[in-house]
Amino acid sequence: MRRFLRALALVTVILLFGFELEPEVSVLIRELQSLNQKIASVQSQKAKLEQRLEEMAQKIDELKAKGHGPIGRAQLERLLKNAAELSDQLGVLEQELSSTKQKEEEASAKLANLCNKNMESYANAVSSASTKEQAKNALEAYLAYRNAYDKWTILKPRETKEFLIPHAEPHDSTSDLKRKLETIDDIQRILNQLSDEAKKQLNALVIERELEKEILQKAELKRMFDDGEIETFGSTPSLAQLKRVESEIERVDSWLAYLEQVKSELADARSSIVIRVKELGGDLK
Amino acid sequence: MSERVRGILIFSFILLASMGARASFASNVEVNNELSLDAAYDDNVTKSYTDHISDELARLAYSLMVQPNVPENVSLNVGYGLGIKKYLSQFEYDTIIHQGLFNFQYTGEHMYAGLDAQARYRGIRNGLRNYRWLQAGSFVGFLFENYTSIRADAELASLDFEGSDYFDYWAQAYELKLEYKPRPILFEITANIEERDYKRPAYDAEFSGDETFLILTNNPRHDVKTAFGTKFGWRDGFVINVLYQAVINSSNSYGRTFFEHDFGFEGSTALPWKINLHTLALFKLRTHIQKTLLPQSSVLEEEEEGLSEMDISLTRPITDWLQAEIGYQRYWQAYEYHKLEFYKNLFSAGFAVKF
Repeated sequence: MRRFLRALALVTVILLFGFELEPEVSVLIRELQSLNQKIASVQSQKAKLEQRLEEMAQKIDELKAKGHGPIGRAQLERLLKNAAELSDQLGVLEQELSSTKQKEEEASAKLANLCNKNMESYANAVSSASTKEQAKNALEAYLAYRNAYDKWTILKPRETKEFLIPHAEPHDSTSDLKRKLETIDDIQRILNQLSDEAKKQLNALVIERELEKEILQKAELKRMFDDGEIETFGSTPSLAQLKRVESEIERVDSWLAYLEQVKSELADARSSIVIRVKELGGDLK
Repeated sequence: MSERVRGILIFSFILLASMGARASFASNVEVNNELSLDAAYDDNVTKSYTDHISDELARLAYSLMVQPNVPENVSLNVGYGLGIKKYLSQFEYDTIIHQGLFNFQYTGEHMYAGLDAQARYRGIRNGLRNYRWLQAGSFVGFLFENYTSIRADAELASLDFEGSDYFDYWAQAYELKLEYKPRPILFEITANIEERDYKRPAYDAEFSGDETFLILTNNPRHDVKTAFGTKFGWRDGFVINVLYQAVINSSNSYGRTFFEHDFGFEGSTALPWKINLHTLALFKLRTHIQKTLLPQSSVLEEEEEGLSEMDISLTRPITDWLQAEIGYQRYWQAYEYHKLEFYKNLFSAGFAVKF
C-alpha cells in the first residue's frame, strides 16, 4: 500500500509540476496533503462543538436566572452533564489537533530541508551548467522544488532564495552587483525560453480543445440523425478526452503563471541591483 | 405529420421557449444552447441499391445542456436534443428526433464512477420506421500510476419500433477498457460483450439440394456480440485516432452469425484562416458464416449497424457564437452479393450558433 501511495504521489506531482521530484519529497507532499485535510476536518468539528457549548452555556445561564424548580433543576443537571461531556470531547479534539499539527510541522520541516537541499544543488547546477539545455533542465528542477516548498511547507521563508535570485547585499561591490546582474539576465533568458515553450504547448492544447469539442458535437449530430449506427456502445467519442485536455490546459496555464511570477521577482531584484549600482556611482555600460 | 409527432414538436418548442437563451433560471445552473441549421443534398434518400431517389433537405439540430453547480468532484449533465430533417420533395421521409440525456459522475482520488442514461424518439412522417430507444448504464474507473486507468461499463438498452417487432430488442452490454494516456499518446484496449434478446422468433434453415429455406422457429432470436478493439491516438495540436475492432456475432437465427473487422481513422487539425478540418473513415468488413438467399436482413436498421462511412468536413468560426460548416459524407454497405450494395452521398453546408 505504501509503495502504491508513493507511486501515486509521484504521478500527482509529475502532473502538477511537470518535473519528477524525488520519491521522498512526493511522499511527504502526500502526507502533508492528508494532514491538511485532517486538520481542516478536526477544526470544523471543533468549531461545531464550541458553538454547541456556547449555546448550552446560554441555556444554563437562562435556567439559573429563572430559579430552581424541581423540573428546572433536573433540566439544569442534564445540561451541565451534557456540557461536561461536550467539553471532554472538545479536549480530545484539541489534543488530536495539536498532535496532527505537530506531525504537520515535522513533515513540513523534513520537506523544507529536502527542498532546500535540492534547490541549493539545482541552483548551483544552473550557474555551473555548461550548456543551455543543462541550465534549462536544472532551472526546471529548481522551480519544481521551489514550487513544492511554497505550496506545502508551513515554516520559515526559503533559505536558498539567493541562489536563484541574487539580491543586492549591503557589502556588495559594484563588480559583485554586476556579476549578480549577469546571473539574473541568464536566468531570465532561460525563463523566457521555458515560458515560450509553455505558451506553445498551451496554444496547441487550446486548438486541441476546440477540435475535441467539435468532434464531440459532430458525433452527437451523427447519432441524432442516425447517420451511421443506431447503437453506439463503445464507439462514442468520450467527454473524458475533452475534460483531460481542459485539465492539461489548467496545468500548463498555472505553470506559465508561476514562471511569470518568478520572472517578475527577478525583474524586481534586477531593479534593486541597478539602483544600488547607481548609488555606488557605478556604470552599467 | 401524425398527431403524435406534431404534439411532440409543439411540446419541444414550448420547452425551448421556456428555457430561453443561456437562461440563468437559477444562479447556480449553467445552461448552454446550440443550434445548427444546414442545407444538404442526399443522392439516396432511402438507402436503396437500385433506383436511387435524390432530394435536397434542410436539417435542424438543437441541443440544450443544463449543468447544475455541484461540488468539484461531481459532474452532472442533463440535456435535451431536437433534430428535424425536412425534404424538399420526399415529404414522407421528413423526420423528427427527440432525445434526452442524463449523466452523473463522481470523481474520487483514485477512482471515478457514475451513471448515464439516454432516451430517444424518432418519428418519420410515413410512420413506417418510428422507434423509441432507451439506454441506461453505469461505469466505474480506477486510475493507476503511469497514466494508466481501467474502466468498466455496464449497460441496458431497448429498441422498440412502432407497429413492428421485427427488430425490437432488449440488450445488456458490458465493457472493459484499459487506457494508457501519457501525452501526446493515447492507447486503449477494449473488450465488450453484448447480449440481445429480440422479440421476433429466430430462423432455422432447411436444406433441399442446393437450396436453403428459412423457417421460423418458436424460439426468440438471441444474439451475443463479442468485440475486442484497440485504439491508438496522437495529440499534439491535432487529433489522430486509428482504430481496429474484431467482432464476432453469434446468433441462434440462421444467417445472422458473422465475423466483422472494423478499421477506423479519425483525424482533425487546424488549417490556416481559422479553418478546422475533420476527417473520419470507418470500414466494416463483415463475413456471414451461414450463407442465405437474399436478403441477409430485411431490416434497414439492422444493416445500418454494418455501415461503412467516410466523412470530411471543414468548420470555421465567424464570430464567438457563429460557426460555418461544409461537409461531405459517404455511407455504404459492402454485401457479399454485390448487386445489393448501396451507397449514399450527402453534401451539406450550414451554420451553428451557440448561445
